[in-house]
Amino acid sequence: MVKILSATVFFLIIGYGNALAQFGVQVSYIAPDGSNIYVFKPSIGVEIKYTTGGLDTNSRARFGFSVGYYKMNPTQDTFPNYKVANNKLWPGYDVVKDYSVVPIGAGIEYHPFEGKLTPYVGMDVDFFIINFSYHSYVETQYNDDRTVSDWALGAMPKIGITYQSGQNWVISAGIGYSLQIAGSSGVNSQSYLKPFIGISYYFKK
Amino acid sequence: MRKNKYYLLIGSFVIFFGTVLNWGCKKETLNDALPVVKMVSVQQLGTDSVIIKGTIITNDGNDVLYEGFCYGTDPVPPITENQVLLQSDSTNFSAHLYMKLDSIRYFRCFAANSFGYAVSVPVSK
Repeated sequence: MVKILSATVFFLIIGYGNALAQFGVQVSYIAPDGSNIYVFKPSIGVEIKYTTGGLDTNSRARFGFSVGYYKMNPTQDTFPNYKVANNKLWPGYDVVKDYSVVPIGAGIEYHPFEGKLTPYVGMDVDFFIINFSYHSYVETQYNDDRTVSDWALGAMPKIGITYQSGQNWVISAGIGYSLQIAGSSGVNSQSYLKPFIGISYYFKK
Repeated sequence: MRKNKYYLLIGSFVIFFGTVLNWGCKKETLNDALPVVKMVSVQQLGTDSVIIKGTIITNDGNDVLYEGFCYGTDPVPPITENQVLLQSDSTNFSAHLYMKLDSIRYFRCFAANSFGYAVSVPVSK
């Protein structure tokens, strides 16, 4: 996971020099939906983001690439679990130790108006790398620490606004809903509401 | 034009914070995902058998995978004690047990879905 993260950051950094672009940081509030709504509390996520196009080019369609990180805490100390073996249901419980996610995304934003303050609509596609560690106990069956690496693919329609401050800074805010469309991580585990706010620096050529 | 942009800005923030607040008030717990079950009856048949019935009151749209009963002389019998496991795919489920009710027994039913399992309040007979 560290290698993938490092490579993505490297390519983001290389990429910003190739065009008029914004390079920034985005902070988001991850409010889980789907199956995770029962298991995890809302969390704060951070992303490094590279957006093509520039303030003085007035390009209406801007492409973005991002890599982020968020960690979620469980809603309870223990979760009921069970296993059926020998025609008997054996009760147990799980304890969540760590649930961290690295989303790697690409997206498009369309700005219908020109100017310092512009609204936009967009769509992101994210590939999620999920690291899930937990302790699992079921009577007479097992009592283990487990670590699972999962993946998921999600699509996130979003709306937002950007505001240009000075010659080089862009502040953005918006809201999106990530909908899991594929993955090994359970039903809609990466479906969530995501309000976000970010700041970008515009590099001139 | 400038005025319109400010309206747009204010409108966007109202939608933004309204949605966040609305979502923040949505407090789901794991109990909402688990089935709720209840013992319906324990009916004695003759001297050596009983029919026990249970029902799933709610399952919040999650498929119930297993149902069953447990019983014993303990007022809160563990789920593994004298367990009867069923896969009936039905809201109401029952079992016919051969046993002598020569002392007070406590019966519970349970149901399990992909999130976990839930057990009913015991009834005595």
